[in-house]
Amino acid sequence: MIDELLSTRDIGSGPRDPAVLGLLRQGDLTAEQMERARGFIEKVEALPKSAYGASVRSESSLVPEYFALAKQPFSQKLEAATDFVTKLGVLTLHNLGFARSWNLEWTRTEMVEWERADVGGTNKSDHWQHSYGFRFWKDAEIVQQISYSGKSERHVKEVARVRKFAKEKVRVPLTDPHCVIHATSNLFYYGLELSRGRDETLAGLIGDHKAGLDFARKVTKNRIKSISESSPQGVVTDIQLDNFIVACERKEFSKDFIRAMGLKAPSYIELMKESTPSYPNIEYSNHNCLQPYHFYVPYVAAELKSITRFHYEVSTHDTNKRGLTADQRTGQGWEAIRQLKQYGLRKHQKAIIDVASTYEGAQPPDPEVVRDRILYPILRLDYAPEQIEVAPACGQRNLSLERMLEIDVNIHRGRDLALKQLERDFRIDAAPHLTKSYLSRVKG
Amino acid sequence: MVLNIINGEQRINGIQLTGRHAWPDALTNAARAYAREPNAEKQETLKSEQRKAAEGLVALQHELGFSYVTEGGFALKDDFIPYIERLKGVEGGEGQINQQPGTRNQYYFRPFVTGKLHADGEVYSDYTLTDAIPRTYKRKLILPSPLSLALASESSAYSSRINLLYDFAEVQKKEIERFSEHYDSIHLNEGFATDERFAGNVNTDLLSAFKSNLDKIFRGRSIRSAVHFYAGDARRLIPWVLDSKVTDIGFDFNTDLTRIGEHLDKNLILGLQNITRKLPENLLAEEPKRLAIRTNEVLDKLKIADGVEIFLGQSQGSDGLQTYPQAVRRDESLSKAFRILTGDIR
Repeated sequence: MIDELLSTRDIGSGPRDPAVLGLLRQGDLTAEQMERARGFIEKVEALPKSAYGASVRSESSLVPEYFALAKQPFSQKLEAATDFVTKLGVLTLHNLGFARSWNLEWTRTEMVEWERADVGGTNKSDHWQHSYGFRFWKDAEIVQQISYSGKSERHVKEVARVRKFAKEKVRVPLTDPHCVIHATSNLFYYGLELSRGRDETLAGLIGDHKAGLDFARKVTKNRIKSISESSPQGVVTDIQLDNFIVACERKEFSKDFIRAMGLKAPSYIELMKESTPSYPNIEYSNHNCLQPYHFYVPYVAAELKSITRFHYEVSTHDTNKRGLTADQRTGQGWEAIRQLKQYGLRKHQKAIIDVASTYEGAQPPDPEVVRDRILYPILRLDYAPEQIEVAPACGQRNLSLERMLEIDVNIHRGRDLALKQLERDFRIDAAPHLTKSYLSRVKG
Repeated sequence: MVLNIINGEQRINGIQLTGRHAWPDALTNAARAYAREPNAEKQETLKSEQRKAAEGLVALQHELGFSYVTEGGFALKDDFIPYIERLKGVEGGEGQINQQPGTRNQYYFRPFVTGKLHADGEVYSDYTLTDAIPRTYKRKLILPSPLSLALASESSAYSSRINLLYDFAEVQKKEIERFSEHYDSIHLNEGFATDERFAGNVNTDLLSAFKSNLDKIFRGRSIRSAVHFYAGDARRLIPWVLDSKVTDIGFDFNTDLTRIGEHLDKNLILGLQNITRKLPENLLAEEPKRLAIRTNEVLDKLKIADGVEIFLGQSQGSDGLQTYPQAVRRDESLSKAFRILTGDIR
C-alpha cells in the first residue's frame, strides 16, 4: 500500500464525549447524549466517502445499532460495544479521508495509564496531585524493577479489532518508554542510584534512563514483536511512538550530563533507538507534543534511522494568517521542521505537518491557511512534496464531536488546494490524490 | 560525626517553605466538586476546605519549628491566576505552559496582555488566607516575581518586555504596600529567568530594570524581603539581586554552588531539599542526615559575609510535585535536618 501524496492521518485521540464512551461504562446514557450521538453518526455517514477506496463494510446506518446497545445492560454489551465504538472511530476517519486507520483511541484510557497493562513494578498512588487550575491527577509510582507478563495481550487484541473494520493502513499509537517513565514517579531506580552515592541530579537522570531501558526492552519491544507476529502476512503496521514531555528534564540534553551518564546521545534518543527494532511489516512514526524541540531534533535524522515520519507541533504557535513568509509561519514547531531538514533528513523520511490547532475552543481552520502550512516546507524549507504528510494537532480529545468533523473537513479542503497548487507549480497530476468531495464539486 | 557546629558557631538560623504547598485530598475533592458544578454551596465547602488546609499547615509549620510560617497558597489555582482574573488589560484561559524542568504534569495558565495593564482595586488579597496564621507567628507571603510575570506573559499590547516588567512591578508595589502591614516577610519567586526557554529574553537591560523595580518595591520598608531562584542555574542573576534593596536571596540545588563567585552579603535561603522528586521510604528516612551533610558541604563552598542569616528550605513549593502525605513527610524531614544541624538531635 503506497501512501498518497500529502496523505493525511490523525495523530491523537478523539473527543472523549460520554455520548460515545458511555457505551463502555457502567450507567445509563441520557436522552440528550443519545441524540448527540445520533447527530454525530448521521453527519459521519453523510460525509462524502473517502478518497481512499470503498466505504467500510457496514453499508447500513450505525444509528439503530447505537440505540440498541445504549439500552442494553452494561454486563451484556461490553464486547459488542467495544466493537461498535471501534467501528465508529474507523468509519469516522475513513469518511473524513484520512489515510491511516485507528479507533480514535476511544477504547483506551489515558496515554500512560494504558501502557501500564501487564507491567509489574508500578503502583498507582492513592492520593491526588494538583496539576493546574482545577485539574488533578493520581500518578503512578515505580516501586520495583520493571517486569512484563504480556498476559492480557491488550495491544494485539486492540489492533485485531481495528483491522476487522479498517480499509487503510493501521496506525497504532504507543506511548514511548521515555514518556512513560518521565510521567511516573520513579522511586525505585532513582532511589537505587541515590543509594549508590550519586548526587541527586545525576541519580535522577541515570535512574530514569535505566528505567526507560528496562521498559523499552521488556515491554515496548515485546509489544511491537507481538503486533508484528500477529499481523496478517504482507500487511504493514504503522507504529506511532508518542511523547508529551520529552523536554521536561532539560539537563538530560546537556553535553556535560550526557557524558556523565556514559551515553553518546541524550537518553530520549537512546531509548527511541532501543524501542524501534526492525521488522519487515512494521514502520515507525513519531509524534511529540508541543515542547522545546531544539534540544533533540539535531540528533534525530542521524540516530533514528528506523523512524520514517516525524511530527513536531506547528499550528499551535503559528499565526492564522495566509502566506509563506517566516512572519506568517512562526513558532518553535516550524523551527523544528527546518532543523529536521537541516540536520540530514533522508529521502524516505517525512515530516508530518499539523495544519489545524485542536486546543479547547479551536475553530475550523481557513482552508487557505491549511494550504499554506502544507506548502511552506515544500516551497520555503526545501522538502520534496513526497516528504510531507498532513494531520490535525493531537488534541482532538479537547473538541466536541461536531467541531472535530468541521476541523478535519477543512483540513482536507486545504489539502486539495495544496495539491492543485502543486499541480500548477510542479506539473504533477493531482487528480488521483484529490478527495472525492473535491472532484465532485469541481465536476459539478 | 558532629554536623552542626563549626568552630563553635551555629551555621543555620532556621527553615522556611519556599512555595505553594501540596493540597490535601479533602481540598482537592472539594475543588473537583466545585469545578464540576459551580454553585454557592460547593463554593462554601471549597472555601471551608481551603481554610482547614491552611490552618493545618500553619499548625504543622509551627510544630516543626519553621522560622516563618506561610498559608500554603491553598486559595490559588495557580500562581498567575490573580493577575489574569483581576488585572485590567490581561486575559487568560488557553495557552497554558509546562512550568518547570523536571515537573511532570504541572502547567500554568499564561497571562495574555492585550492592553495597558493596571489594577483597579486589590489583586491578591482574595487569593490569600492571611488570617489562618496567628499574628503572634512570623508570617511569610510568597508571590511570583514581576520578572516571572513579564517573562511568562505573551503580549500584543507591549512591544517591550521591560515596559511590561515596569507595569507588573507597579502592581506588585501596591500589593506589597498593603500586605506589609500583615506580613513579616515577602518572598518573590523567580523560576522563569532560570529556565532555558525564557533565558533568551533575559538580557542586561531587563535585569537592570528588574533590580530597579526591586528597589522601587522595597525601598524604605522595614519588612524582610527575598527573591528566590529555582528550577535552573541562577548564577548570572544573583549579582542583580545582591545589588538591590531586598534583604534575602534564595537559590536551589540547580544553581551550581561551586561556581558562585560573589561575596554573599544578604541573608540566604538555600533550597537544598529537592522537592521535584518523590523519595522511596528507605531514603526518606535517611534524608534529614543527607540534607544536613549536604548543607554543610555547600556552606563550606560559599563566600558568606559575617552576620548573614542562613535558612534551609525546599527547592520550590511542593504543589503539583508531591502528594500531601509525602509533602508533609518532606516538611518533617526538613525540620529534622535543621535539628541535626543545630545539635538538637543526631
